[in-house]
Amino acid sequence: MGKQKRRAFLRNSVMAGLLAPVVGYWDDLVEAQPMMDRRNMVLVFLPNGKVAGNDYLLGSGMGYTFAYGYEPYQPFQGDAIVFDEYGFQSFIREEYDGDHSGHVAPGAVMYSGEVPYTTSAGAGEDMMAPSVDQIVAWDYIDRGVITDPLRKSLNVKMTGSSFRLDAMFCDTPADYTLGATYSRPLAPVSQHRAPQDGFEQMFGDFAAMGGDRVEELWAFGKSILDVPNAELRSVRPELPVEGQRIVDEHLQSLRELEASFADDPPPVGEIPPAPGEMDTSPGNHENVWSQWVRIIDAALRFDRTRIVNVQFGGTASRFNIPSLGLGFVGESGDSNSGSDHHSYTHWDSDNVPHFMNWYAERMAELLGTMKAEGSGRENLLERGVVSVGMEFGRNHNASDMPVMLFGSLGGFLRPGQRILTGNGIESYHKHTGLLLALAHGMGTTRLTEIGNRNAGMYQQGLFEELLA
Amino acid sequence: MRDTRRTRWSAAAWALAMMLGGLACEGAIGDPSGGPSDPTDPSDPTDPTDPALREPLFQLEPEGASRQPGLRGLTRPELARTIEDVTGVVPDLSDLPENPEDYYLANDASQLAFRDGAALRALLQVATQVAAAADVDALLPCAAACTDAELRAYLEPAFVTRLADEDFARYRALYDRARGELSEENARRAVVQASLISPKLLYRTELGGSDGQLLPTELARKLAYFAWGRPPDGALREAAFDGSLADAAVYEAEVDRLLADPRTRERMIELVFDWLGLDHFDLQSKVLASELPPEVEASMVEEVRRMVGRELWSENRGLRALLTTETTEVDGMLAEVYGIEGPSGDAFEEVSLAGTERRGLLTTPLVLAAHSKEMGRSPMQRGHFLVSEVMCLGFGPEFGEVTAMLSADAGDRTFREQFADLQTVEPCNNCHRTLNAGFAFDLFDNVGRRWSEDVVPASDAAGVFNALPYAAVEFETPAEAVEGLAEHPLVTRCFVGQTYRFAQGSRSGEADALALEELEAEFDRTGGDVVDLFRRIALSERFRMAVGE
Repeated sequence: MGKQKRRAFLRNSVMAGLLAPVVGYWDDLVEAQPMMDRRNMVLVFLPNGKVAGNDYLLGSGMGYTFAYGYEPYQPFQGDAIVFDEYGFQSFIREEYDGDHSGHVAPGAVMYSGEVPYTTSAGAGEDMMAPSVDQIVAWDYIDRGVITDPLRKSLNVKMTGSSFRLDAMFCDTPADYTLGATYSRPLAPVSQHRAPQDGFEQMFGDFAAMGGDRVEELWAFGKSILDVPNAELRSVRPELPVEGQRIVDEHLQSLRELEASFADDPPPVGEIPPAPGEMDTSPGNHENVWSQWVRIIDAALRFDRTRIVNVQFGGTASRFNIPSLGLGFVGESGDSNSGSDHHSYTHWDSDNVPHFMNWYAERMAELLGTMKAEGSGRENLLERGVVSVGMEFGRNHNASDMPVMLFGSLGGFLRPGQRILTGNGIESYHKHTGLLLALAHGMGTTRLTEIGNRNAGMYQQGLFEELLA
Repeated sequence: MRDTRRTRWSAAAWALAMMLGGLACEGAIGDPSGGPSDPTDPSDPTDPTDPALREPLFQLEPEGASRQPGLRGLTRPELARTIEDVTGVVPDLSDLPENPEDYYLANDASQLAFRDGAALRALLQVATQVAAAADVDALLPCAAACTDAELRAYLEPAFVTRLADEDFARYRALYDRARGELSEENARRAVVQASLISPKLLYRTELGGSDGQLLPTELARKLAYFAWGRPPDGALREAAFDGSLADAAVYEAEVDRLLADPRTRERMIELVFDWLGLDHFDLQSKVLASELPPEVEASMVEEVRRMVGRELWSENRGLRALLTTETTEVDGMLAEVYGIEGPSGDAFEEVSLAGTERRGLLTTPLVLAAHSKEMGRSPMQRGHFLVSEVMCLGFGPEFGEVTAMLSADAGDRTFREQFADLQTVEPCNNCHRTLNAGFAFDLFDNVGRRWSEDVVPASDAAGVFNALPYAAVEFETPAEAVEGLAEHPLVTRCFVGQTYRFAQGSRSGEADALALEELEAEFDRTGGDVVDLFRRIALSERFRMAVGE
């Protein structure tokens, strides 16, 4: 496909082409991914998880249903890839004995495939490999798919504490080369807690350039081509042959432009209004998240970014959800006691599903918004993926972890599956294979390994069962 | 008289082309023995338009063969500046295709067209963005619904044209329809949007009136785009609208006014960057760039901008001074590249090159880096740069592809000595008697620093530039080479020819021969006064003449 045709193909393929002058990276995108549709990745880290006995898949085979705690996912069963016994606890215990055998490591491994670094003195818990979302973002910039660092990714943090490690998503360092890992700590991505900050990152310049006005003028602009057409025809007879050739080429270009309008998708709707300043404390979690859902959805629909990561607290977060009305559990003075999710995993497992259900409701809100079609809106789960991962599933270890994927990544993944992974050391292959599959589905096919210094020992390629 | 001069120009062009024909290292096509005994003899019977000749600037198109289109599209930079001047909004035109280059210039009228729907789509997107962002109350202030006079008050300056009723009616209808579909404010924006995709803005005509002269509005636009690369300002536009620009004295005064404006300085910088192929420079393509801070690339560009602006416009010392000046301005990063003491911060300071191996434009890090390989020594690249860009000559494809490689068995001969051999051996000497002059600049590495003496000794710079039938330029140092080359008639001829094309936006024809010869003579007489050259071009009969005349 020729350069110009590729341009036309992609410009016509999405409404975002309209925003190209603002975004300024359209041509680069075209050059780098001439034949690949735009794809989106949303990685969600939820803290803690369930405890033994909190089963989340009921029934066998594909006739399963979601247990309480996961019921909000039910409408998305056809979009989901669910796992039985997703985990890599054996890998952590056998390869990284000691502190890493507990629940700190799995959260870090979740999206980087990397086990945290601990100094010889036993202090420090830091990432040494970038998370897969940042690897893909780095690849997009390196290949010129995007040129504006501002739109590398949208990084969201819902307020919550961390136990030691707060960096679930780590940035690529300045000296990064694809697949590199490090023997030094890496910096976490810079995250937004306040929705208005995220909105500013995604839409600040768009709003300054006229926002909705642009859309209205663009729609009208399609109907004004008769003016230049008439002007060209008016001057043509006065010109020498060479000038008439130029006019004829311009007239032909006008016809091509007019024809291209027929391929334009209908408008994707309006960009949400900018949120005002919000209280981001736990008491306002639901409202804050609703704002984030609108911003994430719009950012992806308007192609303001292609990569989103979301982090609810950090590792073993004492994540408080006041709206649940759950009181203090545990013992006074005990660091694992309180009214938060983590404390309940220690002291009151029967009520843990309330927390799980709350997260599932939040995820369902995001999934439902991204999936909503009609009025020109496309189903973002078809071109994208939402990965939801929690850090432990069986009494604070990385076995039977609640991990799910939603969406097909443009047909790259095969949703509607239930896959047994297991918790043995070999399951780490499947975990890195899942992360590689996400990268490849996003177009970062140059990445062959992911994870830390031992990654070479534990790479088995893509997790083939995930693929369409 | 006119015919004689024209013939002299063509004969000289032919002679140069034949000289280059003789530069072929292999093959018989360029056999110098097949040429005339006296290549400067205008009575020589050899056809000066022999298709074997490949000198685009000097091979003037015969009269009647002109492919002048009668309308000229704006180049991408010109369009950007035009949109900015018309609307006050700086547009991002990076989605528009780049203009094709013809012998280093990108403003050939026959090439400037919108050739596909994707390019027009990108333009419509820009127009939409700009219209949305513009201060429409300032651009198109209307008390209520816009009157005809209010609409014309925006459109006619934008187009530098008095609109005929039929033309204006289209915009009236568009605005009225927009008011029915959009808000009143957006209806005015729609007029702005439409104006930015109008052929009246994207092109300028050169059709002229019954007297064969450009119409005042056409002349105003041609002058403004030549001198400033942007549309006429209010004064020039008014002189065009009221017709006074047709008066020679008024026109001359406007020429002088425009050339005294700093916007001409910017235009001269643009010309030099085009002429010397500096506008697509990419320092990061050089392996050694990793040893420098990335910001130094911008400093390299800024140094040359300052040098060109100062020598050609602010101080107006002329082209030869630009090529040989012992003064430049550098910041701390560039001072390190130069290897001179002085500036250490971000501010540019004037420094003297006296006592160094460098002189003027051709030894600036930007020029040296722009014409070097990604790694390793680059004497032939820099020699080719001298021949092609600086001298406007070329090695035609009929002379075969040069695939010469240095012998693996060099014996005791140094890298420089191996090339010296090529300068004396037939047929390689045909090319290498000019190309080897690149060694004068090969003391400097791929990013413009001095190679260490043990890598490239100073003695390597010694050489000769021997383009027949001109006197050979011999030199021992880069400074001597620059001094000699700056005086070379081919440099004058090339620069005048390129500037003339820059003004006219097309290949020169035989009908331009007289003007070119006069311009070259005056340019030589003034010591390379570029402001005067601009002025003479703008005042020339050919510049003001309509297409076909």
